[in-house]
Amino acid sequence: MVPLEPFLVSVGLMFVIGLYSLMVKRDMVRILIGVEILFNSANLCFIALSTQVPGFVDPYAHSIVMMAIVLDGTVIAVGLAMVMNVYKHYKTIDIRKLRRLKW
Amino acid sequence: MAIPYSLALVLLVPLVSAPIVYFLGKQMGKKVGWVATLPLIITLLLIASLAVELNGGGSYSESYSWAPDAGLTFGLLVDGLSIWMLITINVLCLMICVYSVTYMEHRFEEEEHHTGVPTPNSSYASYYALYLFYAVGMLGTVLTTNLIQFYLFYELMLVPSWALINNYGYGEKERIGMMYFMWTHVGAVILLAGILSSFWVTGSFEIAALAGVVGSPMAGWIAFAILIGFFTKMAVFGIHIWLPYAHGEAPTPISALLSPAMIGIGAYAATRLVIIPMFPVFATFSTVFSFWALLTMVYGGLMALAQDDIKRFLAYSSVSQMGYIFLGLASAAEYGVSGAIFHYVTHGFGKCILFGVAGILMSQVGTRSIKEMGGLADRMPITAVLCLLGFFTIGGVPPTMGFMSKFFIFSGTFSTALAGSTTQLLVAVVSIIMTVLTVGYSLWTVRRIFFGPLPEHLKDVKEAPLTMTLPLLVFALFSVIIGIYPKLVTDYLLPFLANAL
Amino acid sequence: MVDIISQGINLPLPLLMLLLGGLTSLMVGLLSERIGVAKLREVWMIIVSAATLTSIYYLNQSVQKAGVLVISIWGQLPPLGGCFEIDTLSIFMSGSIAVLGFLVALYSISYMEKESRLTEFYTLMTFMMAGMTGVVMAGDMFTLFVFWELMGLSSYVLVAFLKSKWGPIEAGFKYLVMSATAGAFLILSMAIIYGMTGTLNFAAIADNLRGAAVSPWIIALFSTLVVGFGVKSAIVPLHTWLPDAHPEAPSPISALLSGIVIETGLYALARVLFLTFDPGMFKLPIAFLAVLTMTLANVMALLQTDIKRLLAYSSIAQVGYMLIGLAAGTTYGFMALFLHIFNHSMMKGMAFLASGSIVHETGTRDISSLRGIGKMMPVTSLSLFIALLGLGGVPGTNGFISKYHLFSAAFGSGLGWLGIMGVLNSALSMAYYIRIMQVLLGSPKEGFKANEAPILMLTVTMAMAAIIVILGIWPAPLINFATSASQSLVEGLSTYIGAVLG
Repeated sequence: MVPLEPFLVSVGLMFVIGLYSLMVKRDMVRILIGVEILFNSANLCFIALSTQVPGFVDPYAHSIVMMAIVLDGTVIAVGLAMVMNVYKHYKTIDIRKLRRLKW
Repeated sequence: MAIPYSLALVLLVPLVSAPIVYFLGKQMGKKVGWVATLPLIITLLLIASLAVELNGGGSYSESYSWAPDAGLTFGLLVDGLSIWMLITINVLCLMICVYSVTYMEHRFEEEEHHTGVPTPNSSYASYYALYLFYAVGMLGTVLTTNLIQFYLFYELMLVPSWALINNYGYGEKERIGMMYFMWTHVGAVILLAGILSSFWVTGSFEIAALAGVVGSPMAGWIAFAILIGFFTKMAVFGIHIWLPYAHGEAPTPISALLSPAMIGIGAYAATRLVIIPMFPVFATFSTVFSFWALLTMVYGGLMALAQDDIKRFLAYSSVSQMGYIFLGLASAAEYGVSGAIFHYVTHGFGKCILFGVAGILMSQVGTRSIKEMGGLADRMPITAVLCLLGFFTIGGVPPTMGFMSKFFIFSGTFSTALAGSTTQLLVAVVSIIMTVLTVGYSLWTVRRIFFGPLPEHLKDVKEAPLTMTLPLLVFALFSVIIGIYPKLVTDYLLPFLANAL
Repeated sequence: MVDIISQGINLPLPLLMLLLGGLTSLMVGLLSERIGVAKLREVWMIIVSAATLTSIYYLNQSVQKAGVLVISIWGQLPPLGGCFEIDTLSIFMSGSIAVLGFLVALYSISYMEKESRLTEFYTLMTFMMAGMTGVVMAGDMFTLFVFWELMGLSSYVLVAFLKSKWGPIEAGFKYLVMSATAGAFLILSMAIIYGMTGTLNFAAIADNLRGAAVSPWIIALFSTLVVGFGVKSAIVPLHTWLPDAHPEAPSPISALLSGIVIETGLYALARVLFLTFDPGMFKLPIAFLAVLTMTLANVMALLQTDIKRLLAYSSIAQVGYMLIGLAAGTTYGFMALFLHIFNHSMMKGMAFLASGSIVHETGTRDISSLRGIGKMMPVTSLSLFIALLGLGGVPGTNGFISKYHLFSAAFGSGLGWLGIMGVLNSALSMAYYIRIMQVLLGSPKEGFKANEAPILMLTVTMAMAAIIVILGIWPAPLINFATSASQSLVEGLSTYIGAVLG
């Protein structure tokens, strides 16, 4: 049985780093990187929990994680397409300069 | 032997005619007002035939299934309590429709002078169509037997009257329309909360099932929630603020419907929904309510004395009259409650005459301020007589029916008071003394408007055309006939309430 | 009484139609540009949506016969492989999706005429509907997630569709980031479920996890689920993307988003919460969220000057009312929830379509400059008027029927204070609806001219207005359908579990 605690700690750490990146950074690409880190922490959690069954590692979780990585990648790709569009028009990807919709 | 489906027809005929009137109106313009009276005449005939059949007691009901799985039935009931409400509402709507033909013509001419834009036919069309919807709402509220259906018609009264104030009113009509809507709507949703809670206690949405609420711990709250909805509509003291604005700034024919017909429906609903089914719960509040009623009566009367604008004056007078009706309800006695309903009829006809007179004065004299009027009795004799009769009706002077209705109300109040505590007795005595306020403001206003010297700028005032005075004469006729022969009304009311209470 | 159909890749018929329709729509679009026939792709879109509607009808018949229909995807029997589990509730939701999708497709033929990249538009719309249908038919958490992301992806791109202006891109980006974060939360919740039960299949979860004692892991699971589904359903405080996204998207897409995408989020929340937890456990937190959502959204809506933004905040408030039904947790409460989902899709969808017509003709979204539009666009204004009456809960419209059921459910399950808050919020919301109505009924300023909308847009809005009024007067069939849907969720739980686990 692989000990669970280190995995959970790293999941939590990655989660916090991802959220921090997401909320604080000004650069659109960095925000997307933060989202990606968040996704990966959730995937890591899945893998970690799959090792808990004594004796063997459940392949179900791994297959799910592989499909999830594909989906996450697609989402980030769409996001990056939007970033490219913004750059083409406005020559900057700083969200603080580009926030025009009011409350 | 009644005409089959007559109650459903009473609701359907105006409802279906409303879009027809709209489309005809776009072609015909102002003449469509006469067409709009047709559905109301038909309903009046239907109701009259029912009244003849019901003579001496009994009731007539129809019920249609609506969504039985959800507990909704579409039931219509007319009995001793509601028959005179129906007759009053119908006669008022019909006659005011005739009155509006001339009045709205004048109003639109005034607006054409003001803005220079000719009035499109659609203004007339939508006015009469909305008018018919409003009439259906009022008739439906009085006829229903199911609580959700009741709420449907209650709100259905609200939307057309809001639209009418919003489009055709005076002054800051939009703001006042929204004020009217929000106040009454908040009261109505509290009513809805009460209805929904009662559903969980009794398991049914029928009005008759409300009797099952008595005895449950929530009974007081449910009764109170339902009553708040009606009190907001009746504009009792504290929640009356919307009334002077709404009735002052609505177009006069609509004021004539709002004030007499609609706010009294709150009293009818209170009787039907709370007093009769949940009588023990209501009786415990009797003292508090009579005190509240007295407050409303006095407040309305005093504020009326202070007004210069004739329509606001009449609006405050309505508040005061609602105080009388509330007093009758609060007595929770057979005579008191029937007096309250009888006073609804009285106030209906009387206030309608008065608002009609106000409209005549506004259109013929051109001003709403009492200060600027005077000595008009010479020029407008019929109007002066009508005004006097109107004030006598609501003031309770024989031989108008106001006398009988007030007699019943105070009869009921005193019968409860003598059996009750000294505070109630005190309230009863003070309230009789306060009737002097009503007579006071009435006669003072009549003197200021019609008697005394005629000012220079009013030398050319003419009497109003027949289409405006005829409806008012009809009302006055009703008032006097029922005053001399009150059996017409009490024959229906008293037996019903004697049984129910 | 249930057959587990497993032959290779097997999908429910409506889903298959939508997915294939989306793929072929791409090809048809390219074809139509090549051969120059103008309306080919629009006609294809209509055919696809109509075919989906018909297939749902036939699917309903099989579901009625079988009770619950289980279709396993890859030949691996559940609970090991993914599956679709279709009961009356799924039929109800996919029916709502298909109906609204069909009407919006009709509308956008006329609305999007002058735009470019229409092939992408229709393809993405079909994929979005496919995603939603997949979500409502999913039988295990991962299938739900896959189709959830499909729905999300298409909607991110559709919100940012008019990419020449800044507004849609900012709105789309904000939506993407928030929704992707929610997706990460969902994966986390799946991980927790997997850690606790070893499977992601709904029936197995209901069998194992339901009724477990409250522990820190259960609370973590509940919170991640609420956050994960809550962003898409626009529950306060996760709603901040919505007031930007819905106005900036093209009007047909706003109608779809507000009308059915956020409700699919609520469906997923309802289904997963009900299957995983005992209703008594989530009653109070959801009630609290409901009050927060309703009140904040209604207050913010009062301050808006842009008509589509006001309607967006109104959607958030309506989600608050739906949460009341979820908080009640009884069959009656869920029935009210699903009834309001359908009614809201009709009302809010039509409100967005009608205001889309108005914006299309006048070019402005500012409410005060639209004064007097009622005289110039009478039919559209009448439909909008009816939609607003329905949203406010005025009797005579289907909005009133579902709203009073929601509040009644609150009173019936002991949450009296929630019912009172609900009715008061409903009254408050009339204030801003009246503001729009005043503008519709007012008199126009000098020089303000607009034509009536094109005939197709008019027909769609009028048809929806007719549905609203007819369902308000004769709600019986819809109420029956919603009741059977909710019964299949609440009382049919054992059937649901038995269908997969035997």
